Amino acid sequence: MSTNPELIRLCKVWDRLVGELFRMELYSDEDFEALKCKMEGDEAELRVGSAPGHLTRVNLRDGSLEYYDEDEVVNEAVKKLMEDRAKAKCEFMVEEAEGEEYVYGVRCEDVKDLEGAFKVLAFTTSMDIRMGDPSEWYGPKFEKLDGECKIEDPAEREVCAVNKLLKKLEERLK
Amino acid sequence: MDELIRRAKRLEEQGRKIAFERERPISATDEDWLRKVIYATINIGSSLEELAAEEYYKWITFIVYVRRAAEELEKVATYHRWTKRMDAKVDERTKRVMKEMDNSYRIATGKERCTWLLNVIEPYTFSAAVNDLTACFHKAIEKMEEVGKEWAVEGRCIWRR
Repeated sequence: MSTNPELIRLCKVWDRLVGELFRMELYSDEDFEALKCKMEGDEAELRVGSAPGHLTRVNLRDGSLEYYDEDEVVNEAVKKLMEDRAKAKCEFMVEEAEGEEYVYGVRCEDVKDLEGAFKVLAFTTSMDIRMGDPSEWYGPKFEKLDGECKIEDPAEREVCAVNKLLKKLEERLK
Repeated sequence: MDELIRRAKRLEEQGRKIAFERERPISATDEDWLRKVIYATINIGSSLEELAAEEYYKWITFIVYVRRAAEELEKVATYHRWTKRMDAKVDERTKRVMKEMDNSYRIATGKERCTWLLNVIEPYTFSAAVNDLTACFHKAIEKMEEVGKEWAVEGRCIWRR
């Protein structure tokens, strides 16, 4: 089935942003190498990192998105960003194993701003390692974020960083 | 993908030349060519896998056997260095792998075989085996070309046309 042209456009938006973020040295080389977005019909599958299974499925037909990640803090940030930027209804994907529940990603429905969603996806790459050592990635004084977003909570800090960077880069990508 | 196909076609041409020049002795050129065929099949196989592993799995298996045949022939080339290509007999193990290559081609396409000379001429020599390997490698390239028309690649975006 041939690919929906709108999906191709969205992929190119993601691709350009990925290029910018790599140039800003916000990705690990290993993660950057693994990135790709494969599309067929109304569906896209994006590899957003080098870890096996670190991917996202987007369905244009029903406006849904599934982001797979086992890092709880990253999932928290992604859920918040998708709700804010993609105007979507999101929930954690939870599985029960041996009596315990664990989160394995975020599922969003009714995604109203798909371009916003694809932009957020560009930031999910290496998000876990940026969260772990923010001064290494954003600069000791958060120079890459103009000194802003020095927040203790890693998920909130990353949400702030994404919003700040997107504002900067959207001008450049116009 | 286009570059991969271009390089593979150059290798195919070289293969035909090696097979044709039967009187020449096996040298480093032959081993070098076989090594390049091995790398090319690895790249073709992973490209197909990346695009649609489930859809192309029979072809991926065939391409693995083309690679395996090239690996075995590389050993033959090393063993028979400086022997004329037309005089260097191919061992049974290599012939078995080439037979498997034919089988996997039949499974992928429903056609009888991709080799021409295996089990047809005896003794089966290095030049005959290179001829057969090249013929099967050609089938892999043809498939890659066909797949290349179905898919488009731009930057990190890959889509079915």
